[in-house]
Amino acid sequence: MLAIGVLMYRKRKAGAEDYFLMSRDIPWWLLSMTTMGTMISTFTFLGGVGLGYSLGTSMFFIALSNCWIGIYMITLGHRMWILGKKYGYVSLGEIIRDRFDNSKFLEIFFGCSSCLWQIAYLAMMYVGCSYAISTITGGLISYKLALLLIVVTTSIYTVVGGMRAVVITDAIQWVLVVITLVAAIVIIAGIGVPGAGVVQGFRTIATTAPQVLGKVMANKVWIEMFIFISVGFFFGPAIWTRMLAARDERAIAWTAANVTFFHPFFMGFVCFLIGIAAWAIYGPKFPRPDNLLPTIMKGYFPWWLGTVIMAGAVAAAKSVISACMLSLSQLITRDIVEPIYGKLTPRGSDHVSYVALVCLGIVSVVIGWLPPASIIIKSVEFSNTGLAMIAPITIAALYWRRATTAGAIAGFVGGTILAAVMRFSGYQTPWLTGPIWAFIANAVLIVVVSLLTARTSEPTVEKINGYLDAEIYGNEMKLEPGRQ
Amino acid sequence: MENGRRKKSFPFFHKGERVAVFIASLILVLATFIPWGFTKHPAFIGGWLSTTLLYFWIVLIIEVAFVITIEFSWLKRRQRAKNR
Repeated sequence: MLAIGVLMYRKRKAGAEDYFLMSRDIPWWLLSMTTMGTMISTFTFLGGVGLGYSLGTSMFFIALSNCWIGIYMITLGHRMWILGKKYGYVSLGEIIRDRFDNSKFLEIFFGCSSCLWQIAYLAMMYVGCSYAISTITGGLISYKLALLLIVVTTSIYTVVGGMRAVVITDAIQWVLVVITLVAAIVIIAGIGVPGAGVVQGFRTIATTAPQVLGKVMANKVWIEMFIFISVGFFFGPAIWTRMLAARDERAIAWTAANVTFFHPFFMGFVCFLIGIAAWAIYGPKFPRPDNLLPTIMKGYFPWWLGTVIMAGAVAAAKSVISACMLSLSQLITRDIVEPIYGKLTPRGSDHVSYVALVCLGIVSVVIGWLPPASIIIKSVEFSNTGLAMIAPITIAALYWRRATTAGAIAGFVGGTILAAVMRFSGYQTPWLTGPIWAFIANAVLIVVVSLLTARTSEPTVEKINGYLDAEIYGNEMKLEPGRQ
Repeated sequence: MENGRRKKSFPFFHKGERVAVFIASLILVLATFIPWGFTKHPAFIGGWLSTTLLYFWIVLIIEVAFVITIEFSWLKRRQRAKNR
């Protein structure tokens, strides 16, 4: 991976567009692999298996929800891609800024809130990956040493190679993940362990805890998770960045199709069935479900098989870590530093990105050093709640000509703060959970305040919405800077 | 183009199709939201396969097939639009 980083460094051109988006030239097969590498993560291998074991059939909200990410890609992602190609946008925050009267406040708030939510996700990847290495080596590599090793290696190849290195390493790591699938079948089938296997797991549950194979989760929590998992995933900077980096529409469509197929397949079949198979081995009392997969590997299977599966899990985590780190440094450079200090030169942009990546590595070590228990599930809940709050403002910016800056600020800022309060307080009503009310308040505020305030100037709206209409529907634009 | 109203020459889905896609999507989403009795208190087919699991697998397969169809249909239409 480090060698790839160095190799890609030699191919790099100066400037943010190449460093962060590989010059917007990622072909369909590579974009599909890197996006899948970014989505199949520690959460899938450790958290997903843990959820299959502890929640049983109720974990299906993840698989059923993630089917829809492909639809967001061909609608919202496609519009971002069109605007990125035309105006050179490197971040979604820049699109939001330009659509809403060049509002630097909105851009900086977007950058800061995305960073804050995404850091929780990044820390979870580090923690999960370090636990996996530590468990499978039987403590030979301690948790803290594993954490340091991962932070150092991923930081080096991400800093040196930028998006080029991340994309290539993602693709290699994705191949490892797919190989892992074959090994996972061994666990599901229970080969080599007497009395194990998924059918035996199902029988154990049916006789000892049949409710695990029903929908035990409260319906309002199910609805919240269903909405926030897919929306939060798409609005994670590591995913929408890939939409801006696509070479063409074919790349977007194929990536959407691969995500639609593979992610639900992993969560709804592979992880779920491994979680069920664990019932045949451990019964209902495994203390730390997040650590189930490495424990099964270490306790019941030959070392080489354990190594193959955990190499897949570590590969998945590392590809997400590098993608998250790069997208976070992109947010810091483009949506926080540039709006405050002004446009950077290509070399200056590179230097700020390097510093941001090193700082992120240090912050991750600090967060990961003493992690709370079951961080994997909790951090996904936290991170996806906040990232989902970006959806209403983005939809308003890309689809609704009447949306105004005041409406965008009221909805986005109000909704994000409310979501944080609701998430931490655990507030719920009989029908819906607090974070879902925050999501609704976010959308309603954008609509109501926009309708109550003066329209955004025509040239501003035409630059974004007019150009999108022209490209998608073939309409003539009224006004568009630089176009006759 | 009159008074800001634009004639849409090549929508990527026609209005009727968009309504149909929206209704089908809504049905699929509601199919997962509605707390059916048989999903809460499952019966076991063959002593191990729960009706809840069977139901979710069927809905999942239909959802995946539906969404992938939409995605490739979108690509085909975009390519046709580009060639016009």
